[in-house]
Amino acid sequence: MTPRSLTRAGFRWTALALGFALFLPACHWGKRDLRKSVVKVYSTIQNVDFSEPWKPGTQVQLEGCGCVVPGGMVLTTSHLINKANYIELQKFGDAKRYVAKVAYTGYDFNLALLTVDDPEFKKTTIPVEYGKLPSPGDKVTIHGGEELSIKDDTLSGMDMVWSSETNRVAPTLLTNEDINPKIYGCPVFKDGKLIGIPFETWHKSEKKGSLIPINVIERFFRGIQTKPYVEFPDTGVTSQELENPSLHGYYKAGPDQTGVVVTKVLWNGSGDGFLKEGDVITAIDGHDIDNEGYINLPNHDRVNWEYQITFYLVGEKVKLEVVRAGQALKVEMPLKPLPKLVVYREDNRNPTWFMAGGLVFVPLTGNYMQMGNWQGFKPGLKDLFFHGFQAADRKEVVLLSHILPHDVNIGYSRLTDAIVTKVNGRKIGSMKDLVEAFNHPDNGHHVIEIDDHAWFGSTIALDAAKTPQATKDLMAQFQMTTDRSPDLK
Amino acid sequence: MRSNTHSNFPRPAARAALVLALVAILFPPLRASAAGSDPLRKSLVKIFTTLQDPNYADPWRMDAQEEVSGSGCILPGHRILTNAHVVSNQIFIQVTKDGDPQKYTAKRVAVAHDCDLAILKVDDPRFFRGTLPVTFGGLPSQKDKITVYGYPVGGDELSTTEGVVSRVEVIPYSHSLCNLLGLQTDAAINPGNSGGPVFKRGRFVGVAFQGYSASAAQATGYLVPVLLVKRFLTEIQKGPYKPVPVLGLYTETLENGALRSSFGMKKTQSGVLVAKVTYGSSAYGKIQENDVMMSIDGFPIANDGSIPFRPGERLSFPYPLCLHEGGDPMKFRILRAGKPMTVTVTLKDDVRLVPLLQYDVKPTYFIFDGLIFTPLNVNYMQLKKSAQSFMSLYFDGLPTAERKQVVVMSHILSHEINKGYGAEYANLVVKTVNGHVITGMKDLIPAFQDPKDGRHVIEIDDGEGGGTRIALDAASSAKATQDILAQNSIPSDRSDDLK
Repeated sequence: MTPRSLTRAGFRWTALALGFALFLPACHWGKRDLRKSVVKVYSTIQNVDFSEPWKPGTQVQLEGCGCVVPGGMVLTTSHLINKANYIELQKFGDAKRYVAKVAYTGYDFNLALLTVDDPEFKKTTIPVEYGKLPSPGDKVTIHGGEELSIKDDTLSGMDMVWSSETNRVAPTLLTNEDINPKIYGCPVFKDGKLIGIPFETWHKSEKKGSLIPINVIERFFRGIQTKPYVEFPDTGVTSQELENPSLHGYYKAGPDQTGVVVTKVLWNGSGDGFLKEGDVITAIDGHDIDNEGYINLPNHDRVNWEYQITFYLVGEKVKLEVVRAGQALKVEMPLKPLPKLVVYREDNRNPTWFMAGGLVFVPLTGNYMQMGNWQGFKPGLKDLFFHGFQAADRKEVVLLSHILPHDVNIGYSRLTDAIVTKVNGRKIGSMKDLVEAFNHPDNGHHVIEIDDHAWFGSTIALDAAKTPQATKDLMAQFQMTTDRSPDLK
Repeated sequence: MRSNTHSNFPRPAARAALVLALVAILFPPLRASAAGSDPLRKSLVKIFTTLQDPNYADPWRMDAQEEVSGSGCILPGHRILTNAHVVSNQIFIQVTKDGDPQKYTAKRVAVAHDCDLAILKVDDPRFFRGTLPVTFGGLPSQKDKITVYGYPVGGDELSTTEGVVSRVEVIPYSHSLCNLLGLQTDAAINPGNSGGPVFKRGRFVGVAFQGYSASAAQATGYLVPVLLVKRFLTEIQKGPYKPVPVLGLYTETLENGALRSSFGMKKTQSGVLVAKVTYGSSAYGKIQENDVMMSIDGFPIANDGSIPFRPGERLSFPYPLCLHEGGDPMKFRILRAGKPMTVTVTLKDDVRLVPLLQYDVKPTYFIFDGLIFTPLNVNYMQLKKSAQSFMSLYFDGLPTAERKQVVVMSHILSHEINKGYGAEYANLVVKTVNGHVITGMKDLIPAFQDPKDGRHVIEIDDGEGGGTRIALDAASSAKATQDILAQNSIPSDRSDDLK
């Protein structure tokens, strides 16, 4: 950064002086000009209006930044580009905007790689160098923001933190100071090398900033070699710490066999068929797990044992040591993603929906719940969001979202957000089940059974003979070209 | 709606606050009657209550005392009528009659929490000198002009406000969360009005009892109708008060023609569909899921769930329950699989997995090795914000043959024996103790007498179905509980009802 660029921003002299103070050490490390690695990202986000999912919702402009990585692509956080229908990049000190496309996304990592077709773009950029995982107390600099500000910060540690973007815990580097949302996606350097990218999290202690650590970024790069969409694997079990000696003894683990106990094995998760409820997991990849569920990694803090899983690809095997009913076992477990029932669909610019006789059905997703008034959501749906997992007969929750009023559906109009259990006698475990069930009316009626006792009741019946015309009427009235989203055709 | 006697500033009425909190931010203009000339004043009583609420978070102790005031009126037979919520959890009551500063000690002799009514008596015969009991009128109709008497916030003297009956409808009573017949009025009703009489042409027609906060709705106050007052008086003449019975059904309306025909209803038939019947309730075993309920107690039920009342008026179908008590038979016409039939139901009190608000009772609890167990109820949920996770049990949880109560581990009092079970071990549903399924508080104590392999094992449901356990060393148990009780100054390891 030069004084000229600061004055151009019209900053006061105090800001200028501060800029110098921050800038000098940054300059000291880098023989390379780090500014040439940083780009601004402008994206146009297409939101979804779930009250009329057939129409495009409002558009929002987002700004953030990213960095050029070896190979010339641009690395940024996926929240900047999820649902984007147009992305532009801008180099610092250059007015020109370059149109970019998404090449790879890892929603679970909150990372994305963008490409630019225009060969001009690469000419003056210099890719970042990857650093090593830093340690607590290390000084780092964050490059980015409105006019490529440079900010110093200090790392305070590494933890598994809940990410609001991905609805799950992820390895996170914590910084001492809060990070402005405008800086999400910007590169963070230590000694001139990339060590993390700021992103949004929940439930972190105090006001701290969160970074996606460099080893997670490396894991993302490893993942995209095989698949365009990269997801985290998960243990597929819930577990409990064994700090209390009596509880530790209950699971028949010896005094040296510390670890966590499996409290539930999720259907179709990694543990399904490999682990059992009551197993004490004592080590992962040779790292002993303590009774608080932590492992000690070389040159590193204590971290939660599930941290280790994050660095595997789906399909790779993890080595566990387990005490099952007093017997020590070794388990090699191939890894799968977490079988969550209510997921975020990060790319659903085109949401899944189906309308029949005015009844609008959608799958229950994190996106759907966030669009509405969270406080007003039925408690049962919130329980599913946090604690719901898939079962053999239930891959997703099908919701009767709301009803477009018509003669055919008179009397049901106050129904909203009801879970659909059966249609025409068929169990509904997915949107595809629902669409198929509507092809088989029951005795002249479409009978929709819902799970909504305290709120409305249990059954909806539509006259099957009148339903197609009602659907047509409503399509005309609500300017719908179709009665279902393209993925259900 | 009681107001604090120590301050002219209104305090949100704690009791009525659950749904329809009346927070008087405004002081509405009061219309003073010509003092002395109004004979109705001679029926008016101001009530001063000292109360003490139990603490559902630390169930062995009581909260600090509070002083509240409300209104009341004199009934024939030297009795005072007021709202139950004015005298709930009371430890001392005083009353004054209008125009006389002398305070007399009163006793609560009867209470009906469901319809928010209570009767007080005063032993000192001088109190009733110069007073006049109210004369009962009939149930007023919409647009009837009424006058509310009472001692609301805004001053010390008797206040009257006027308005009309805006609605006659079955409404939720905030004190009990029961749905009963109520009158809505546009007359100003504020904290302190609670328990005060409402007159139509000089005759007593209701008791002012709840309203909305000014931010939610304006000129919307509610009265307990004279009909429920008469029911209350008849009940307590016969013996202990029996609340308005509850059917124990979830129903849905049948306004859609296709829905009606799918249940085999003819054009001439109407009613509501039974979606769910609560185990052990009045209707259980008599009325079934998917029955169409066509009439109740002789009233035909329309497809929107209403029944005819007076000419031009309709009420929701559970209204006739207000005319009955537990033990009464009630007849229903139902349509089951297309066949009409008559069933007779013996009415019972409400049966709930998560009981509604309770008063004048101490919380049930049991402490074992620092783990505090208590039944889940709305009092507990109101008190503990973290108990929000129980909302779906409250709304949709039904009792079953196996489970009539939800036992919750509220939190843990720290001690060596329970180390490792941190702050996240709170507000958890208890599934089993030492392998015994816990269906209610009564199961806990015998289960804890049966440790296995030297430890007590409690399986809890953390929202993901169970599998999480707490194990405690049985050999150190008895001493640990004693230590914990002493350390926390807890008089007993269990509530009186479990002794």
